[in-house]
Amino acid sequence: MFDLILLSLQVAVIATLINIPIAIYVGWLIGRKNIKGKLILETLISLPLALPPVVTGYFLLILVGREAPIGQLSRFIFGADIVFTWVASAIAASVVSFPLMVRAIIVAMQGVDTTLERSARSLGAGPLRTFFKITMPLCYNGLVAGVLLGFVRAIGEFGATIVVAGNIPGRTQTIPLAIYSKVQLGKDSEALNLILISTLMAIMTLIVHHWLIIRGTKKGAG
Amino acid sequence: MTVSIELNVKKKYGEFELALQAVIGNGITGIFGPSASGKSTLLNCIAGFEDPDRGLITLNSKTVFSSRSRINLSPEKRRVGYVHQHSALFPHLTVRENLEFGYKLTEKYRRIGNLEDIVHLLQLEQIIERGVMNLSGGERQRVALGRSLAASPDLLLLDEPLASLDLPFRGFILEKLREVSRGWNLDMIYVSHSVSEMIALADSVIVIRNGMKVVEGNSSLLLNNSSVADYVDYGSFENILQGVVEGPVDENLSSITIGNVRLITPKLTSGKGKQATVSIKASDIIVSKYPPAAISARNILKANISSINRSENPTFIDCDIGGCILTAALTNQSVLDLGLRTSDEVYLIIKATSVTPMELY
Repeated sequence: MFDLILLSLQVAVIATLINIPIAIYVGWLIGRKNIKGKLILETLISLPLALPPVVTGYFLLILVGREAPIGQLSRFIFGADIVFTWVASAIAASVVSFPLMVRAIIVAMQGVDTTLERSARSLGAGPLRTFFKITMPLCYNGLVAGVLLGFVRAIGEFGATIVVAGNIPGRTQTIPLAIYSKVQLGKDSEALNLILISTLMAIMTLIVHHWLIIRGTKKGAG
Repeated sequence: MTVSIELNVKKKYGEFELALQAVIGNGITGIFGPSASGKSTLLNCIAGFEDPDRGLITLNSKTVFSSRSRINLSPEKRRVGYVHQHSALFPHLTVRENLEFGYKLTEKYRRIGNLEDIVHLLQLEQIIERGVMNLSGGERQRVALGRSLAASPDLLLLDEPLASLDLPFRGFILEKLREVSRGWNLDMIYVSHSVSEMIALADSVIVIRNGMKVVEGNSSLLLNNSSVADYVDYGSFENILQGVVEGPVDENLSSITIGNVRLITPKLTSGKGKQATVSIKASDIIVSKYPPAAISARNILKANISSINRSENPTFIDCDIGGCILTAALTNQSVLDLGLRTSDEVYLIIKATSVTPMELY
């Protein structure tokens, strides 16, 4: 049971950590820059949100499967397959949760008053310093919301994961997959335990979210 | 006059085109014009937030933009401060952190003043540790000015910095801008559509309209130039004067020395010997050819007419009251009836209550 929770957390945390820098960059591109092909990029990143997760999983299988280029590259470098490992679970969780994270960040980036960034530039701050000292702190609430939304989506991921990583106890079985298996096998009381743990984790995530938001808003208003 | 800024910029936005060539001298230069005349675009081009389509911008003989030589310095390398109408303070930082932002990014040898001097100058001691979200408009604007000064800019751009402030704060900021301009030798470009502020503050003024320069010269031209007459609100023109407080006259009145003249004002809170700014609406000044007798008004000032600016109605009469000019607004008919002419001796009659103190506390 403990291993199960640990694996679930490992998959979700790594998926989230991979997503954060990419989501910030893409959020900035879409929210703040006038780039060509914005509509295509926006459609592409939101696609996993619109597709049934099983379909997303199938696409991933095509990309990282044994015969696929990424799969072969992995075997060449690491001497191991990606499919049916926890790495595949993390990739699936990452892809499926990415749109939720990036959308919250886009909205937050669009909400930043450009006059403030201009002020920072006039005061001698370069683009990078302005981004990290002004833009990012002003996006804080959206960023926190996006990251935690992504995290809960990652931890609850089922459809894409089962296609690309399978449901192997001790290797790729995360909490939602385990609940599914227990229910299928009629082990209702074991399923109930896992459901309870899931619920607790959801509540804790929400508490962390509120705590981070309150902590973030204290300063400017002090 | 040493040249401070040379500009020759062209920038097109759909139908609108900014096409401006100007040489801006030292001191405070006003940019005056109706809304959408290109004032903000001009400031943004100087600050580096917008790129002109073509042209050249040099600041103190340093080229910051040149389409020919493909030079385009980024805003942070231009050393140009920018104070916005709505202060644009960083909401996630305290007053001190706002002030320190640019200060810490300025090399030590470039710093004009240290942070304590700026805090003291703008009287920010009481609010220094507070967050900026709970400040009043006047406090915010003082912090914004302080934040810009702390970065020790070579040039300060001010975009309507007083437009959303109450009278006392306007007086305070005007005083400080004058003080900094002279004391720190800091050149400023001041955008406003208040003629009163322009005349009180600017050494010279450039009037722009539809992206083009209409006229330039001494700021008093705003009172007599026909090209600005149709959009200037002359009715509200006020004389903004700085003087030294003499002290209370009685319970309700104080007196202040402006140039060589003593003026009775409503009670001033500033102590004896302190600087204070007052404003007198041009339309509140009565002009008499003879010394009035038995009159209730507290101020009767002997003056010489230095110029008569007959544009539209009203006529503005600049009166030298001994080292300083007071402008009175009269109807054209009054000027004709009195037969007023330049260098005539007249008496200006001003009620004490027509003198409005612009003190901060």
